[in-house]
Parts: sequence; structure tokens; C-alpha cells
Amino acid sequence: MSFLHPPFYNMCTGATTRCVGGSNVNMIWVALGLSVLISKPVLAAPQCIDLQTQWQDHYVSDFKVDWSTASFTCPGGESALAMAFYDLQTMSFKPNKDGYRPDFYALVKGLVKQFHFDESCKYLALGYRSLGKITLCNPFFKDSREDRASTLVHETRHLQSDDPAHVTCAGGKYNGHTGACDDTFYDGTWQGSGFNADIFFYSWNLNGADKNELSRAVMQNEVNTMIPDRFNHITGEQTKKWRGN
Amino acid sequence: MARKLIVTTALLALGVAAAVAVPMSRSMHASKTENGTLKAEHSVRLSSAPVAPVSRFDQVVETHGGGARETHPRSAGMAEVKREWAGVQAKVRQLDSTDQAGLAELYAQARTVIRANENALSKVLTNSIPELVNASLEESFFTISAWIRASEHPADIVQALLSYEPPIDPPSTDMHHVEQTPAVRYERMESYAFKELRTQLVLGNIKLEPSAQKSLVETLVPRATREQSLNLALEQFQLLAALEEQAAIQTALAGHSPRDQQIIQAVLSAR
Repeated sequence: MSFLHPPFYNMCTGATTRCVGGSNVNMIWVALGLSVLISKPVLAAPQCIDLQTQWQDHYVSDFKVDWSTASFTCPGGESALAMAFYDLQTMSFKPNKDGYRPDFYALVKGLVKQFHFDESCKYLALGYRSLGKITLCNPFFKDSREDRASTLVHETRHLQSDDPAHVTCAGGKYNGHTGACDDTFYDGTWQGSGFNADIFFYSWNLNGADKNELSRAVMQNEVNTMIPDRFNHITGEQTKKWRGN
Repeated sequence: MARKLIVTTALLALGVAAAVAVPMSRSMHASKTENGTLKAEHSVRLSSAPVAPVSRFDQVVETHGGGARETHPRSAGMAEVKREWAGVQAKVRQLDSTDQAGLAELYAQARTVIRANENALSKVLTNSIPELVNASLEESFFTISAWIRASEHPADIVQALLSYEPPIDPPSTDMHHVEQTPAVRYERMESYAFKELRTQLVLGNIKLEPSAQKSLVETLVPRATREQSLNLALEQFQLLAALEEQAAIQTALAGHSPRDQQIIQAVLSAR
């Protein structure tokens, strides 16, 4: 876990982007944050100052972040979200045989009209199609770095007019849980609801990106947590194929 | 001045020794307690079996937990193996996610460490499962796969995982997304361990001793019978299939709904 602190728990006060007061405490957090970044560079990690620059110059306006964005700490809520945007921005894929490759940064940027934070909600994130709005909740910021990026793609799918929305699960781990499954598995294409979008996202990261065996194993394992448990209509052949057997 | 220096050096050395010794003794105590629980659970599970096959992980636990006092040279050996393994893991943490050659090199290093110190390392890894659950998935997956690929007793790490009492999360408030909690990471480690063991068996890279296979099947069948996660159930069923345990598969299938049985059977029969 890269960032264990509650989001928006600012060690600094004031409206500047730099910390005002508590500098010793901040230095400890900065050192701790940096040590975490240094000790877990499984994904290449940008420097805090670079993230802050991207946040101020691009991410806040690109994604219409609707809260006061003056404060930026590493670790912290804004930097965790900035890291997710950074990951979407820097993902590069080899094109498929039709010459297509996804641009997840542009996809999210193009569809989201507002990024909102709700301190009281208990979900990771919620997408509101009519408003074009994604609401982020506290657990989102405690999630793993990889999951935060895929969550943004998942919620963005809910903003599209052809999203059929989730349904109640008909079996498996989430049997009987409302809104915990997609009705049909669409073989890794951009159809269906959020879990199909997750598979699309991981499929491109598995097959279109240059990753070593270990990183691929982690992503395949993520896919396997969804196939077949997150889909009501999926064949055995699809299950076997997509689980990397 | 010279006397001061000697005293300071001695104090420093004592301080370092204490700093090393205290966490070590704490961890040994914690692991003893934990392994005591593991051993008890394991023996209950196997009580109906006439001959209870015991994995090498458990044998080491038994030696250690049975009151036998460790000699100093053995402790030093354990510490050395632990340090050596920690060195490999540190390199895994620093590995770039695109570096395949670097990963192959780390597997080679891990193999050397495992082959040279299998008994000691099996104990280190058994005691390290709580730490592995809290580590990154890359790190825990590496440990699992390195052991399965290099050990002469590849199923032991799967048994160790199955015997570990999983962390319990508070009830989730979001069935829609899953946060990466320790309980979720533990489940992911289990599913990866089943898959990796199966893959290596199917590739013919490893074999299980008959007693190890018997013990594994006895542990797997009750789990596979009541497993609600289809992800985990499929891994367990596919592992049983790779071990050619058809009767065990039929027994475990009975615990699933017709819809889930259909998916499991379709996966098992798909080519």
C-alpha cells in the first residue's frame, strides 16, 4: 500500500501549495512517503513535485476536480488521485491488428464533467451518468495504486449512455448481491457495464503492454477475481480462456 | 579518549545486538503461538486419516514448537537464511515491472537459496506468511512461485497458506468494488498458489510425493466443497484435475449450485 493516510488529511494548513507550519512533522511524512515510494517501485513512480506540477497544470482542469485543490501533499489524497491520473496518462500499448489502442486518459477526460469527493460515503467510487460526475469516497484512496486507475475506468463506463448498469449476481462469491455483477461477459470488448470495462482495461495492460512475468501474473490474478464471479452469463470456454489457463 | 571510544563502541554493539535480538525473539514467540494453532488445526483436520502425512513445513514447526531448545549455531543459520531471503525479496521490490531478464535472474538466485537451505527456509517462510499477506502482490507471488519451482516439496507452501488463519475484514460496504485489504490479498495469494502449483505440475516441471499429494487432496476437498468464490473453487478443482483426483472432484462438486457446477464442469472439460 503506497498511501496509508486518510485522504485530505493535510499536515499543512493555508491556501498555498506549500506546507505552512508543522514543517518538522511534514518532513517526517515526506521522508516516510519517499521511503515507501523508493521501497515499492513496482510501477515507476514520479517524484512528488512532478505529480504536483501535473496536478496543478493539467489534472485539476482536465478532470474538473470540484474541491479546493490548493493543498498537495505526498502522501495525501490529492497525490493519490494524481498518481491514478498519471498512470492513465503514461500507459502505452502496442496497437492491435486494426491499429487501435486505447487512451484511457482521454477516455476519462472526455466523459467526466466533474470529479467530486464525499467524505461520508462508504463505497470506493460512484458514477452518476446524468451528471457526468464521479464521486470518490475514502476507501478509494486506501486502495492499491493499480486498482485506483482501473476504478476510474470502471466508473467512467457508467457515465456512457449505453452502459446497461450492474445487476444482482446469480451465483459465485457475490451471489444475491445487488449491483455486484454485470449481466453478460463481452469477451474483453468495450461493451456491458463496469466489470467488462475492468476486463478491457486489464486485457490491454496484459496483452498490449511490455510487462514481465510477475507483473502479468498479478494482473491475470486480478482478472481471475472477476471471471467468472462478476458475470452472470459467461461460458465455461470464456472462463477458461480469460483466466489464462 | 581511547577508553571513551571503546565504551561507546561496546555500547553501540550492544544496542545493535539488542535491536536485532528483540524483534527476532518477538517474531519467534509470535510464530510459535501461531504455529501452535496451525498444528492443532492441522491435526484435527487429519484426525480421521489413519496415517496423517505431515508436510515438511509442519515438521519444522513441530521440532521448533515441541519445546526443543534451539542451539546457537542453528539460530545463526536461520538468521542467515532469513537475511539471504530478505535480500532476494528486496531485489523483487526494486524490480521494474517490465524487466523480464532481471526477474529471471532473481528466480535463479532464489533457487540457489532454496536448494541450499530448504529446511531452514521452509520455517522462515511459514513464519513469514503474515508479512507476505501485507506485502505487495508482486513480492508474495514471487515467493510462492520461487518455492514451487525450486523446492523438492513444492506443495508445502500451499499447505502453509491453507493452514494459515486468514485475516478477517469488517463486512464490506461496497460489493461493487473490492479494496485491497489483507484478507483480499490473502485470497489472491491462495488462488495464485493453486494456479502456480497446477501449472508447474502440468508442465511436468515438478512432481508431488504420494504422501504430499494425499495430504493436499485431503485439505483441498472440504475447501473446494464449500468454496463460495468461483475463482478459488475453480483453482482448487483444476488443481485436483491436474492431480488426476476424479473421485475427489465429484465429492467436492456436490457442494455447489447447479449453475456453478455447470461452470466448473465446463472449465474442467474445456480444452
